[in-house]
Amino acid sequence: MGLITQTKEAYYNRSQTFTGDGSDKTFDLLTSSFTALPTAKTQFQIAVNGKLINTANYSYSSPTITFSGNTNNTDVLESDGAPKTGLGIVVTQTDKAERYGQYRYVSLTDIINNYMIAFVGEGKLIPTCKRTDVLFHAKRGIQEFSYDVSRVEKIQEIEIGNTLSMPFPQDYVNYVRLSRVDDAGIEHILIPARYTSRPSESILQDENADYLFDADGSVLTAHPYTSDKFANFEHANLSGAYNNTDLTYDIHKDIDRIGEFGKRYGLNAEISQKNGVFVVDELNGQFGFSNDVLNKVITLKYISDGLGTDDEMQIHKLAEDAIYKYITHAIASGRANFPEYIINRFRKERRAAMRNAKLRLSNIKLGELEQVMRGKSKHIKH
Amino acid sequence: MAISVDTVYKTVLSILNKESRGFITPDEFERIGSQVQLDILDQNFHDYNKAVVKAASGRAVEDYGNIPEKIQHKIDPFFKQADISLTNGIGTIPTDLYKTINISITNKTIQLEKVNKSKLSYLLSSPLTKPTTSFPVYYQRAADIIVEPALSDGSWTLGNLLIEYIKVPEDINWNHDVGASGQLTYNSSSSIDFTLHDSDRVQLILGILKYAGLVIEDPAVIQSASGEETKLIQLEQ
Repeated sequence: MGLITQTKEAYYNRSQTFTGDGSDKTFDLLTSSFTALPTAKTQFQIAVNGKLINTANYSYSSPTITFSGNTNNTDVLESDGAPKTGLGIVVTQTDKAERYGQYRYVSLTDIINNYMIAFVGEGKLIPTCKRTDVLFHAKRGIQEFSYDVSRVEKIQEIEIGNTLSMPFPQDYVNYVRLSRVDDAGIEHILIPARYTSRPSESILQDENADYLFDADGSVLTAHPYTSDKFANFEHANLSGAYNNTDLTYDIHKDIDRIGEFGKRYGLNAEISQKNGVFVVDELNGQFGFSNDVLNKVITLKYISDGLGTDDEMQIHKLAEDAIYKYITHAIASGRANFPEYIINRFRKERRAAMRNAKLRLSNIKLGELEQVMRGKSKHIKH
Repeated sequence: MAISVDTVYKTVLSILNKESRGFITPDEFERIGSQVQLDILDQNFHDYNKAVVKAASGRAVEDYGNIPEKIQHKIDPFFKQADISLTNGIGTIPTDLYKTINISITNKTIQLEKVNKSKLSYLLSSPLTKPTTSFPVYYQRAADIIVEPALSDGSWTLGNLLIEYIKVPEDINWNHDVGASGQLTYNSSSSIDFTLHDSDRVQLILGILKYAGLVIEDPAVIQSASGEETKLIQLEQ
């Protein structure tokens, strides 16, 4: 049996097509046409010969649609509601957007079931094992693979407001890249500022520099001075960029201007840019930005752990073998009295499979590499 | 295929009556027979375990020499399945349950895993192992099972359950009529045969004879039956 259970129409359009014969009023929806059958008629729409049908003209009791009238649809429906002879009836699911490309993945349920049947049992690699253990290691595997092997990058785009900060996304684990987006939609990389930070606590002090406390004995705090100052900081002072006012546009001074650029000795690439910088506030779960990205659109590329939602709990098919090897090693190495040489064998197999998966998922295409490197080196032939 | 209760009773009687050793009544036979049947069923599980361990140590044989499969066939006649209705995550288990094989939802696509009660708190608390409708679990009490996540969050949408199990053997019954001169004649209607596999017949008769020897107080019968049984055991090892 093939792995695809949906029709092509269901995949591309989330719809099922019937043909009217002028008398048939009931039509059954098939599970092969919908990821999950609609449970109410508000979850789909019906078009006959391209014309949308009034919802009062039909009823729905999963999985059967029954036509019963032709109000406002007399051109495509008979008086008793039956679609006219030869007309195409298209039922389209409207409450769910199709997630294309799911064929690339193996779901967590499939991983567990496959593992239990293929690897656990008498005479197999793992003689006996609880499914809960496999589930735990499979989920841990998905996490590790998300960080290291598959690295599905999520991208969030926001405009930076007056707070000059951005909260971590709900499923954030670590960032890959922050960029400022210009008017052309081109991303300019933001670099983390190593020369400032966002204090998580700024303690209020009196004139003697003693700490101040409230009646409960808690220390009094204020908005961090470091953050305030950095928010108002003129970034050009650090990057060394010249503002227009710093330059004299005197036709007689062209040579001097050229000379000014030449005076920027010891250029530091990290700070010599005008894209802006950010700081990571780990404790409060926020990014802070320099004021030159105020009101600018930025994109955050980040990785999650792959366990945020049920739909995410899946593994790329190119890494399917690696996850099985990962689970086997994890279970075996957690057991007492398991021969060490077998655990070592599992470790080597896991390492090789993960390396292989990483290589596959790094998506190196020879043709693309060739194009990027074209003309850059005499050594790479094409 | 079941072993005829009449055949066994007559075989036992014919062995016991040899040299006029004695006689056991149908009632005694039924009590002893039911006990021996249960004993043999239990022994089959131990034998299966030994056979599997032996096979796993590299001494597995295929086809006619496949002992684990043979023992599985011996246990299979006791296989039974039944529906379990869930009410607020609690379902009653069948009264004739001897050993659970599998509990799943009725279309068998999702299996429920049995968990230790002592580990349940950790299981429910950990986000990585918390039971879901995709990976449900249960734990067993005296006469019912508790299904998670059905009990804790009431989100159970998978309907009733199907339990597949090995049943406790039904007590045998050698139904009979009493003739004009007091003779006992076997009546197959409402008689209950032994559920055991045919291949257990010898062991069954020997087992009954052992107990029958006690009833008729004849050590020779006990010794002889025990000797035969020992030979059988040695043969199987």
